[in-house]
Amino acid sequence: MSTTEQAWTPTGPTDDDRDAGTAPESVPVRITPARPPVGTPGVAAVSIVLVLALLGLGTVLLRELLVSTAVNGEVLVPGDPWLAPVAASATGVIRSSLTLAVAVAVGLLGLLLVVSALKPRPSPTSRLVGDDDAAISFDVDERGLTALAADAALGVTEVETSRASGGRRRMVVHVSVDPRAGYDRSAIAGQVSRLVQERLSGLRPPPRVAVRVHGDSSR
Amino acid sequence: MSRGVIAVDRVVVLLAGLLLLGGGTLTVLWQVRRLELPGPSVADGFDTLRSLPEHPLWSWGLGVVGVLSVLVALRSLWVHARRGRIGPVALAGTGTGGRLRVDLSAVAHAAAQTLAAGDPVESAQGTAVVDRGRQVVQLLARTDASVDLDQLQREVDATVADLAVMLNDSPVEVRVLLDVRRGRVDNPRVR
Repeated sequence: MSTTEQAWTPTGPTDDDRDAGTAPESVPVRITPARPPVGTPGVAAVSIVLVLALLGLGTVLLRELLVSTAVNGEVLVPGDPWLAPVAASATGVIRSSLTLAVAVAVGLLGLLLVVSALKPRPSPTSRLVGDDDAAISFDVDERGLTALAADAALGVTEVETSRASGGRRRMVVHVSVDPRAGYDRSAIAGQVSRLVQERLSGLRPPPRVAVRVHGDSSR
Repeated sequence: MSRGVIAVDRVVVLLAGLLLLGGGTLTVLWQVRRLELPGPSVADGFDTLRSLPEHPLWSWGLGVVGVLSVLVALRSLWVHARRGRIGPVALAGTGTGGRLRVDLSAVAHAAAQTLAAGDPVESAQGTAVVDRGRQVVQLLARTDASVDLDQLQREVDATVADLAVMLNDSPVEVRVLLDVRRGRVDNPRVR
């Protein structure tokens, strides 16, 4: 830890500094751990799409004003109005299969919007909690968890290669062993499971670990 | 993106969704003859719509609505693109005699450098962010999957202890993200 102390020390003296001298580890840590990070909610993307649609609508409305306004006998922008003919030709709605299809589509779109509006923000990471005296926990994404699990499996001597899939609740670890050696596969699976549980012991609650032992190492 | 922006997004999208859902449902009910619209008032509505383009204020009305739409849309895009920035943070000891302030980004950067100097961490980045209304020093440490988590915890705790000294009693929170990479797939002990 000597590198830590030399590489970076607080620039201004504080009460804690005087107490701590050159050993910041002895200071009671009073830092507040932040909550786990959250991702951008889907509703933000939906909202951007709606905003762009609003921008398009506004542009069309402005265009309508410009093509239908004349100053000193000259129209501001040459072109035909789009909205006036549409409004003038509106006669009503008739019952037809097209009307039904459009209504169903509109209703489903509305349902999607409601669901996206109520969906909570995604939490891309899981928290690895340290010992009781640890000052702070680690936030690890799913890829990191599988990497830790797969690497832990290599702690078993008989395992040649390993990979893992899954997440914070359930982890599936695939390991390969020499098919000619005649190992006791259930014993190897047990050892791998124990090591993976140990490596991921910081997860609350601990994940269920399933181990698949393969005899073909060419994978 | 701040919590306020997301809250407004939720309300707007929810209202738009309820509107579409309600309109679609009513139309379907009408289509399958479970619902009868009051014929005369609907016909009146369409009569009004047809006569609207003849109104003297038709194009100006459209123009005003168009300008408002464009302004609201541009403002909303700008708000979505804006990132929360953290100004200098007041430290304990700030009082009538003077002010102690610290640039959180610089603190985060320095802490990351300290962390990266240790063995278990290959590289580290430190940023200061506003997350759900709190000021957070965020350390992103890249490590190999074979890392000794206990040793890493000791390194990180030492860095966090430094931060605690530095940010003495200020309302700043700390978060450590691990970016775990897998350097090897084969077991070196097998060969």
